[in-house]
Amino acid sequence: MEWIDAADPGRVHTEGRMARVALEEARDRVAALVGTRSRQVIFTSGATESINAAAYGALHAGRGERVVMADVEHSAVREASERYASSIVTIGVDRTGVIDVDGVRESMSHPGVGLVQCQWANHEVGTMQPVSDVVAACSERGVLIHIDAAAAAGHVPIAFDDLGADLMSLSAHKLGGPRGIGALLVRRGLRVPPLLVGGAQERARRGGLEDVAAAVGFGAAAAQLAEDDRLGIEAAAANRQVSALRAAALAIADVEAYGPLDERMRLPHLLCLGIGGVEAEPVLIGLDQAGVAAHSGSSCSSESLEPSPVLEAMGVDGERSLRFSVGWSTTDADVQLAARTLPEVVVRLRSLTAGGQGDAPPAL
Amino acid sequence: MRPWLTGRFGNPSGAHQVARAARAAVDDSRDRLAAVVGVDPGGIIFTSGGTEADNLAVLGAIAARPGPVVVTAVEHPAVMEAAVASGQEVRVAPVDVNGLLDLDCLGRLLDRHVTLVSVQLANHETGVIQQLDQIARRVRKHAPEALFHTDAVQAAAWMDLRAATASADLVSVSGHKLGGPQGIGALAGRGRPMLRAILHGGGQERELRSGTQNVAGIVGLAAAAEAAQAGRAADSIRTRILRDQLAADIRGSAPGCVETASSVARLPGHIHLRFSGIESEALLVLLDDAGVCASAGAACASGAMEPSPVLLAMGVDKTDALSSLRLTLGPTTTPGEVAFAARVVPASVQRLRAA
Repeated sequence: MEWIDAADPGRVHTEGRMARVALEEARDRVAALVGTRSRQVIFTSGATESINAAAYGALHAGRGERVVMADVEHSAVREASERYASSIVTIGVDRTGVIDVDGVRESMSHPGVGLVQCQWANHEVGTMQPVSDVVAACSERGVLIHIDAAAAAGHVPIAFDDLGADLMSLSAHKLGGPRGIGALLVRRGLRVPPLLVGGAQERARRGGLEDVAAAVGFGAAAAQLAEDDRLGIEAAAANRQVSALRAAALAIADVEAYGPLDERMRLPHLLCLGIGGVEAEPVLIGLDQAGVAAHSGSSCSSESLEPSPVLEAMGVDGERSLRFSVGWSTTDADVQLAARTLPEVVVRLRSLTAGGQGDAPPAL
Repeated sequence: MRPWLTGRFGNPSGAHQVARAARAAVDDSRDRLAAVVGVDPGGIIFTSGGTEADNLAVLGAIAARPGPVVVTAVEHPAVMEAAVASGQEVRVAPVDVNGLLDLDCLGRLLDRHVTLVSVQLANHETGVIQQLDQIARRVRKHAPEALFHTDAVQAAAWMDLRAATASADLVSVSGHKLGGPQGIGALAGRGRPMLRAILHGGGQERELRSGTQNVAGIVGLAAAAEAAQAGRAADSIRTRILRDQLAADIRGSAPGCVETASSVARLPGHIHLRFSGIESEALLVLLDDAGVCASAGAACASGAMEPSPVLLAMGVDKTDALSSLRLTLGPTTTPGEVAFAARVVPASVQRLRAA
């Protein structure tokens, strides 16, 4: 983080040029992680900005102002689409959260569809989407596609150029880099109008002085993951930890794990559980007191305590859902603690509920 | 801010302990920045920088209430281009030869339909300071419904922002211009501004700016704003003396040198010079070789040698605009560096004239 005192990389003086070199090296590293050329990478202030810029740009590219998407998209994708689209065509998902590719294909017969939104993988449940099929469907019809890969990048391999998608959003902090930086990938040859204007930075695709220190941090995180298949090794470790926690959770009566059964169809580091008979919030508090951090719904809305639209779209009960994630700093001891604490907390809460109502014995 | 870069990674919107610590840091920083700027903490919207703050003020105000927008001819592109991108009628208020807004011309552009007026506090190229209180009175009188925004990015390190928020409804600041980190800025308003967000999803910053907060940047911005406020009086006097000395030295030893807007109130660190018959691009290269960092026009435009729109708006002709040099001094600039620049700039001009 020595670039915290970086000069303006847009200047021609020596300090400016040094900052430029650092910025471009960071860009090369991010590009390498996601299988694209450096020129395709626009640095932004984070995935939310990338997603908003993608929606704004694609819908102002003169191709159509309607968006096709499923309700499992991140709130940034949903709300940016609502803001910048004339209308939204909603497509369905199955009970594991996988979007209906035929539905996408059919929806494009609606006049004025300019953009399809399809996440690489779901941020709550971890469900991976059939992005290649959706991209193929879009190319057939000449409709732009944006892929929100914020939850997936750094956890599963991504090859942007090979995929052939038009736009893709990435977040640094979701893959071990700093907050306040992300990237928008733009397919070679595609030009869309910028959302943030007022400066020719990022090849006139995003106004605003580049955050060199944060970009360098993003690049370093990307380089670490790309080196010696660290991504694959971490994914395997995460998968092992999540499997252990999943098994412990499923041993509790009336607990369900959401998302596809096949672990290759899920992000390796996420586990979303539905817990019968108790609400998520007291479980979260019980876990937190024992030193286990978990979430209900998505993190952005966890304070509002509204049911997760993702789970609603899947047709499952969102009010009783919990989300766990493991990362590079998660130890097996942490997982064991969570695996031990979760049944205790659930059983205790269920007995309280049962006691308060003066009827049935604890469910376990 | 370093702890928030290296060890503490909580998401301030989460409910667990790590997240609560992050949120406490954000809230504390919001309070501190609000005190420096002179607004309630609820009036601070953290952004990714000055550009986003300007874009949010302009596009956000117009999206909330569409209508004509009035800007000066010398605004930063972050304001000017956002105004154009809004698709609404853009009325451009002219400036005089010193870059000062003509109040009567402004008055004629204002009417009750205008929804936003944006006038910078100080110019990014010349450092010229606008008389915000007088301008605010005109706006209130002729366009009472309009939001009044000021881009204080350039001025924030040097001027008391409480005066800016006393005149304007919305004030943009940037972290790195305050001596803090890049990638962070804020839009400050009195009360909850009538804006529609440009970044959606997540609902952070009271629904006005979604996106996981850059905790380290926010902490750094607040600390930088406090440090700038504490050191402002002494830094300003010291820097102004050095600046005036440097400008006098260069003018004295480089014939054909004109200092832009030298007779009006400017930020203490800015010098803007024009050297007739010299191309600023060549001059910059010589200066850089000698170890002096300078700039030709606006930073965003350097590299592309277009004449500065700011100078053109002040009535400078195209050739003269392309022969300009901007030097800026900061609180850390030493008398030795100033003496060095005072020798190198005239010598470099001499070399180019001889060539």
